[in-house]
Amino acid sequence: MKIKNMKDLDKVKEIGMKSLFPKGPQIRISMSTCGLALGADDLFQKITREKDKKGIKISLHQTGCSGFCNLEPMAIVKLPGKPALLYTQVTVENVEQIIRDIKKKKIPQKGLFCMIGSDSAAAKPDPVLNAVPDYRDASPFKGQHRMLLGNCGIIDPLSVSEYVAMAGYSGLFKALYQMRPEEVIKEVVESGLRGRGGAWFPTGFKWDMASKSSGDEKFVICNADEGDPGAYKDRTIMEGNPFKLFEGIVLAGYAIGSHHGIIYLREEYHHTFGFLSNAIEIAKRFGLLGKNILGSGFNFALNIVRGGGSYVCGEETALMDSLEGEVGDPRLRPPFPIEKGLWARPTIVNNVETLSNVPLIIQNGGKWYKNIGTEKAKGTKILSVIGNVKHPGLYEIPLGTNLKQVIFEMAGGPVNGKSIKAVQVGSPFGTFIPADKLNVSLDPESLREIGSMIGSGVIVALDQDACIVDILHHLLTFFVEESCGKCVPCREGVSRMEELMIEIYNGRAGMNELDIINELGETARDFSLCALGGGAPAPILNGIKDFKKDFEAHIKTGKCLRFS
Amino acid sequence: MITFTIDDKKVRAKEGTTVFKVALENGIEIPHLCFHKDMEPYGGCRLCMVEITENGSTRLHPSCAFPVKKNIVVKTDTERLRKGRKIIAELLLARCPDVDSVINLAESLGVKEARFKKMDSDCVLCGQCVRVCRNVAQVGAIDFINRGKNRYVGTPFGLPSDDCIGCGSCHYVCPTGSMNMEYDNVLRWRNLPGTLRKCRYMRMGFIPHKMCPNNYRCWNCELDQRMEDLAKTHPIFILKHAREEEKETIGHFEIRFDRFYHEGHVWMKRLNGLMRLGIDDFARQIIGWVDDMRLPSVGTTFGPGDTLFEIFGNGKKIQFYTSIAGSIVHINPDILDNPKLASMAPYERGWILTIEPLDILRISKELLSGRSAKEWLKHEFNEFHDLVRQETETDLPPEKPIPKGFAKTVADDTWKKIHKSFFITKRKKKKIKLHRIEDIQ
Repeated sequence: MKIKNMKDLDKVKEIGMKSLFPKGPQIRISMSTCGLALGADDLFQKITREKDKKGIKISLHQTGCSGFCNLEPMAIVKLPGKPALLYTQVTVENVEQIIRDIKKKKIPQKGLFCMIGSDSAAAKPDPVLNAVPDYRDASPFKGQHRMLLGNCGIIDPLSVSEYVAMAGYSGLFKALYQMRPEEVIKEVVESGLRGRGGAWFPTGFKWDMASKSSGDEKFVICNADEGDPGAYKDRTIMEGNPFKLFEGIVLAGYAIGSHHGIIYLREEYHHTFGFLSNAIEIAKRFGLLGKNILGSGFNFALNIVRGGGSYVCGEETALMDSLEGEVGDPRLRPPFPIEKGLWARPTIVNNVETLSNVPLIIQNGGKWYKNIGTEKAKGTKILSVIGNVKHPGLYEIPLGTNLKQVIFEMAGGPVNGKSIKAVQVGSPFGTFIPADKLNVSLDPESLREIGSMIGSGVIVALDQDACIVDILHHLLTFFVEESCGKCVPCREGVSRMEELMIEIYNGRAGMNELDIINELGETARDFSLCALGGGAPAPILNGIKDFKKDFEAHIKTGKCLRFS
Repeated sequence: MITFTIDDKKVRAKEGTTVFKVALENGIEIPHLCFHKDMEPYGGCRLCMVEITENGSTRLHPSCAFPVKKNIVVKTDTERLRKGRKIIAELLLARCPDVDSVINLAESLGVKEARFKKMDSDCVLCGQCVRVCRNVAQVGAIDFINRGKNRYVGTPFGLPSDDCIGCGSCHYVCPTGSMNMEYDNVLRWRNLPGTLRKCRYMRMGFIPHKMCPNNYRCWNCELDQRMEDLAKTHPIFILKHAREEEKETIGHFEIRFDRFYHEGHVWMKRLNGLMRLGIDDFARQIIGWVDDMRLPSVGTTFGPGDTLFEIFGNGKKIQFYTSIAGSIVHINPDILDNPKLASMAPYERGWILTIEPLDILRISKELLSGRSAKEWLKHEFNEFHDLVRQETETDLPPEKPIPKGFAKTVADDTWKKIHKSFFITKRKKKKIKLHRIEDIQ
């Protein structure tokens, strides 16, 4: 059915509420890329078979990833009159027991992790559940502010009605029926939203300029070429709540006067590609994409293009080259994409996370959004905390949260009683922050003061066993591998830095070579064409400054500090 | 004209030029490698970086591409720049230790010896050859292969390219002398059967046909020698400049003097005994935007006055007629993929059909060219503005191009009148069968 007015939207909402809060028992299995890799598909089939065998009516749904892939496959079991329960690491062997328990209207105990929505009116407390924490109090969910990820892992990502039941599309409805494009931009400007891809450029400002530049056609590009090592927040949003992203893209198109959007998807996201293509078809069927969106007369076409597999294609100008069918080399600026972008038309390029914020802003107003975060950086940021911590995963925090709190309280600190040596914020371009300086607020400004950056939000924690020389060598290899080769400082300079770093690693070079690396790094930082060459030297230069002991050990003995 | 500061000196410059050009005009030479005056800036070598202070913040920008702005302060020679340029020169010297031009460049920046492991490449990857091939010769036979430090310039799969016209411009522009594509391709042609061999000046479009007494060994060719001696630059650049001079704007319509025009606003160009045709700027501006077209199939024959093709855009339709007889030989494959090309580049990539005229000698009688075409277009320009004034009682500004959405705003009756007076010729005969684009594909 096509949603054409408020009545239709309410009808869809009702259907969504029914499927979210069913009368009978319900099981939801997390089936995004990570879940499937850990056997969610088998689990789904097994449950289907088992419930047919036992002859019980259980409505079976799939959900996206909730951000903690090591706890997959997750399942949510909802029994009538009880709060929804989240189970982690459910295996095929557990299924029979779960189904048996559901038949007896008992709560399955194995793998029970936490409750979801225990305070909802319909839920009656159960003595068995006394010891089970609510999802807001259970680590690693504790302390998060899940605005964007809130629906991920709970609603069926391919169900429009469930998204609408979670207040979805009310923002777009409001914008298309009650707001002019300028008002949408004004709201985004007021919210203080800044680009979440790593550059932190004010989104409203970008849209404003794009709406004023003239062109017969304009483009909205959603940058989903998520290439930063360790980042998977965009994938989680796309697989957990794709319609929120679509809503954001259509809002961006409405704001700048564009009728064509493109999702530039990372080549490696095979499952996501098929999934998003399905989601687009479904959105078209509901009249949420294509012609006459929500019956307002606004047209917007959305396509997915798969990337070429190059990291540098995540850079917006290289991305546009890649879309045009050329080799993905960054372009010279000026002209900026907002004047001359894709096919020389005004273009805005925004990250998945940025665009997903927009529906919330329009729905609740820029003023509401402004209250979250610090003075200059508003809203939340999804951090992907990886490395030597107890609970690696996605943490959505309000900007301005303390880094120490994230590492030690939320992510559980180091494993096996070891101590944290350094934390790299904004991998791969951020610097390594030594353990004694971790007391820093996570927002672009505070991090810039200590020479680091938040980037796209990847946080790598290293414990005492890690060797900084080794890690820097690994990073340099990555930069050399992914350099496009257009400009000399990045192509030649960074590869020479890698060459010298190998010499240092093997103890064949001295302090003199470190000075040369410093010189090369400064040149690459100042003279490179794009952010890849310009950003690559930062962790190296700071690493040499802050972790002299590691380098001295390698220069003297050719071995890491802990072996020498 | 705008004023700004270069190295503490106030200079005046035309809007739209780059900092590099203005600096050169004022006697300041900025080191450079990938820049070529006849080509678009590339910004790859990063030697021409300058410090530019704009609105209180100082940043480094490549001067070859940075457009001049009012009140900016440019510094071309500071400690930071010198240090960076030195490192870049050192890196290039380590890459190409035996190339004279790189050695000279490094010496001029004060670098004698590179501190890195030496490589033995003779290419600095400045991209001049790739750009000249794609943008000036308009061929695109070579490009970069691989990325990062494995990057090199070559033809697809390392085979002699079928697209190469052997103009040798890649060899000409190469600052290090590493391009040997020219030689490879000339050798390839020598191995072709005699009927297929072609002179490179013929391929470049300088001469219509040439049987070669030197067996296509261009280094023995007098013409080749004379061309290069006379020109003091490569013939391909002369061709480029000529191409730019060959157009003029009448009112706001562009006219090309290397084309023939037909009164139904179709241009035609001779092409080895065939004619290539497309819509002219007049038709392009009036329809604004081509969404779709109907085309005849290959092999269809037509006579004077037949409908040749139709274009659709902005909810309107234009029919195009011919005044000569012939048959359809080829349809532009790009236009089948993307009909919008016809409105984006009507004279180049947006050509529509190639036809074989029945009597090629009649062309100069039937079609307009040169001065007659110019007068005709001037007449059409005046008549069009008169008609619009009469019909819609509004004036289009005569100096600006027609707005893209013009066709949409025009009433159907007015459109009929416009179509009748500008696109239909008197000798209307029969309508040949036209097909949708999808059917042709």
